[in-house]
Amino acid sequence: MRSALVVGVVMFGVAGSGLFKRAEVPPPPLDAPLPTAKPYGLAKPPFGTVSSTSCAAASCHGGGKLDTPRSEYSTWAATAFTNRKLYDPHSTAYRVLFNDDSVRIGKLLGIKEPHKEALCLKCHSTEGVKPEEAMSEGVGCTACHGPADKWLDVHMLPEWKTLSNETKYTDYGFVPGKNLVARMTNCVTCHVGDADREVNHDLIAAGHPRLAFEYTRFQFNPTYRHHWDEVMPQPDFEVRAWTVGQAVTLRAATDLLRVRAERAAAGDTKTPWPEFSGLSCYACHQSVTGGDVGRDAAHPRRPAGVPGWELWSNAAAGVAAELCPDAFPGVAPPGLRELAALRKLMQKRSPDPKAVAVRAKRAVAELDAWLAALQTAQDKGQMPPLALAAPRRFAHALAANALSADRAMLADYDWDANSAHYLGAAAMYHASGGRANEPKWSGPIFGLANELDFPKRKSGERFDSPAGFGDAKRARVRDSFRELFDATSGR
Amino acid sequence: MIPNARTLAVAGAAAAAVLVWFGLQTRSPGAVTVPAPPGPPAGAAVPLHAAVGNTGCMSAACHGNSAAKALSGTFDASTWEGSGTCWAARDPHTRAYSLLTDKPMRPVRATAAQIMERMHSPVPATEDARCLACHSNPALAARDSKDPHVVALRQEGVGCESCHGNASGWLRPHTTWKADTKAEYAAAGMTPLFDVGDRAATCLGCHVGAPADPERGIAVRDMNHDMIAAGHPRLNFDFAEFHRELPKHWQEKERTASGPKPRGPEFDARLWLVGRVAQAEAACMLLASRADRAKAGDPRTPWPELAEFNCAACHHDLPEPWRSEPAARGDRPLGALKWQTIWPVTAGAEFGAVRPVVTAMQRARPAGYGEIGPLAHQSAAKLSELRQNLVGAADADLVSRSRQAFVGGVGGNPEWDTDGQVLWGLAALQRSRLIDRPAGEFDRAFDAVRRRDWASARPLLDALARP
Repeated sequence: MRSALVVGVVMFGVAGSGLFKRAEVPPPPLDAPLPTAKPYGLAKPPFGTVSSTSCAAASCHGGGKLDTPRSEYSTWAATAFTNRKLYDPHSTAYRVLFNDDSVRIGKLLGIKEPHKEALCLKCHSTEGVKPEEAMSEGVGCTACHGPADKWLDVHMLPEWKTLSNETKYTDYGFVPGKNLVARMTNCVTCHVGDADREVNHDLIAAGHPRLAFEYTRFQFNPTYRHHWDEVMPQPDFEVRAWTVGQAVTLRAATDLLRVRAERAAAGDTKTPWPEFSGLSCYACHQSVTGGDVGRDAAHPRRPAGVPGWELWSNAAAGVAAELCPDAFPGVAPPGLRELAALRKLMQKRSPDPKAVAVRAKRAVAELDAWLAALQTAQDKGQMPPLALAAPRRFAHALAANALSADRAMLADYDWDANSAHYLGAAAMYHASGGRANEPKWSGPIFGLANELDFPKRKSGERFDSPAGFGDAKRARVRDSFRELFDATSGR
Repeated sequence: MIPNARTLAVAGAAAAAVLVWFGLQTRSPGAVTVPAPPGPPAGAAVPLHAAVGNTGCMSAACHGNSAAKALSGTFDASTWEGSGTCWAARDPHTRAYSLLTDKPMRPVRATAAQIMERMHSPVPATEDARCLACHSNPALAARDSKDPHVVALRQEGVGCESCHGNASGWLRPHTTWKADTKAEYAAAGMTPLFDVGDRAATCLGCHVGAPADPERGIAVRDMNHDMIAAGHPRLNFDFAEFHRELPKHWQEKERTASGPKPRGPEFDARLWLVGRVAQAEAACMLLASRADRAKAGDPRTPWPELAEFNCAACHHDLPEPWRSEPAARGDRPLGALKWQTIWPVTAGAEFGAVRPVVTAMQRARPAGYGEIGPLAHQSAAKLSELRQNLVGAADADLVSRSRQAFVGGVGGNPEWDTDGQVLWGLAALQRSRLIDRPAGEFDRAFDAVRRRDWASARPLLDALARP
């Protein structure tokens, strides 16, 4: 009985993801009613803050015993007195503004001192913290946990525990990180960007790394020293974190597009349109010799010559939407029809900023409703634990979505699109316990990692692009996704 | 002759008259049916700019005689008798139309069908005026693709009239012309290809692109980034180099008032410099046309048009830090795309005519179509003037100006477009005996550029350019 149910769900997953890829639904009318639900955590709390030193007292979070409770600050700041193989990169966010790369970027952009420039400090320091404290601060406690003026004195009192997450946020400005939607909504303000801060193509051209945020990958970066323990067990955490990450990242990218389109439509000459950083980097930055372009290795529905809009956050999000009830029981899959219409608008070489602004705003409302539902589901109380097979179902749907309907080709030749699917599958591999529990997956998972990795330069330095990601590599990526598809089917 | 001319003057019967005359003159038993040219414009005495077809030129008594001498590299006063034969035997333009079909006459990386499919085109390439405008006689592109006569003419590829102009107005008179003046050519609708500036402009109509020419019935010629992305090769033209490669079906001579004069050794340098200026002129005209069409909301003209920019400005692996250094960028802002490279015209300050366009297109936000249109029109007009000056410039002047382009080295940074174009220029100068370097050095330099081995290419280029 149970296995029949699982098979049924798997079938649904496959059919569902295929449907997401192929369905040609007409765009919803622009006056169709929109959902109004919004998650909390979007607007910045209007409260003052304190610097991290206010949290670092030995009896509070500065206990000095790394990786243990009450030593969160010590763990976070560990780079000061340990080697840098395991550390929290947020603690060095400010310091990097002095390094050679930052100086060069600043020079090229005409910025004399990046560590004093608002453009850089918006993400490389903690808002509201005095500049003289910023050195030790980096992206400090309150950058993620919320401005502390109102909650600093009360968050250790017993009454604090009785407050709802929403109240903590709305009345006190505390970001309840246990709620995945609230947590990630905060991450993406820097890691994707918002109306106030963005890494645009000018900055990237000067040498700033592109942004490519995927929550589960960032969290499980082997060099990332965590100062907390996840309360949610595996595989639940990983499956839900990936799902929420897809929704939150896509919401942020869509809202950033809305902001840019509105500025361009208003005739702001400082806003380029289309903004290249919102398009797939390697659609343009790729070798165009011979069989490198990959037109014949895949069949995306974009017309030739159109760089995909935000493939990084769009490509696999359909799977998160379709399988949403598997991760958050009771949350229906969002239709995302506004988003589909927006993608279609963006599949033009010169999208109309006015039309894009209107549609993007509607797509954000649609995504907000999805986020609100995910957020409420977690805040409502204990969710039933996920079946052990849940990650497998997700991995299967991801593999299916990465391939064409007949699985003869990749669904998309773009590096971003394939990597988004790989990262999702890797998260699921991790969730299910890795090689010990899923020995058949490890071949394709590591195969994908290998093919998608950026080549190393001779000096050992990293290369900033998937140079050489040509048809031969794409064929191996396709084979790995097929292998993963087979390895995750059945049971 | 006279009755025929009278007949021609009767506008309504003109088409039939040409047909009759044509049928009589060719005496070619297997002649392809020649379609009736369209009626003449109201009030015109002679139908200008109507297509006749290659067969109108190819009779044995006209241009269809033996081409043995021309094909073996000997040119004399009789070369014209076999010019059609020479074209048919060896000219790459013969294959142009076949590339639109499923039987291309040379290997292609992407077939026309593949390209059209990737562009989501509702019609095949053989029925799309944008393709036909360069893969057959441009003046037939806009005609009805269901008309078998039109199709038969198109199948001739880029034939006689594609370059020389549609022949209805000059087919007969050109046999009696003595002075061969430009005025006579213009009145009859024949392109004065003896003027190397006009010759370059004619090639560039397809090899760069051109706005529509309604008077001559020529559709817009615009091979844009959509087509390149779908698999069409990019356009990468150098007039002097392509001219050298083309099997000649004519005797090269200068038409002076006192009669024809053989070309001097400086001719290749002249072809090169005139060609570069003409190319910039053509690029400006195409840019202006793109801007005008984008402004009019033409759905097939995106803005900005990515084919306006140097391909490698985007299509390079990351990072290539030298690209953002001021030495490589000049006054171009960070992340701004380099407008197409037409070395040395777009590189140096001495070609001031094109600067406003380069500057506007290389801003952090490229100029909008409203702004760039007038700028590009102005630059094109100035470049046209410069081109005409160079065509008539004295040998000594021309030699010094073409040599001048290389003074101070080739400059800039490793970059495929620039280095390739520099090398073609140097090769033209070598042919004109303005430089004298061993052929092996050229081979090594071309090879290094092809391999994108900049470390080897740069010193080789500098050595070749040294006075």
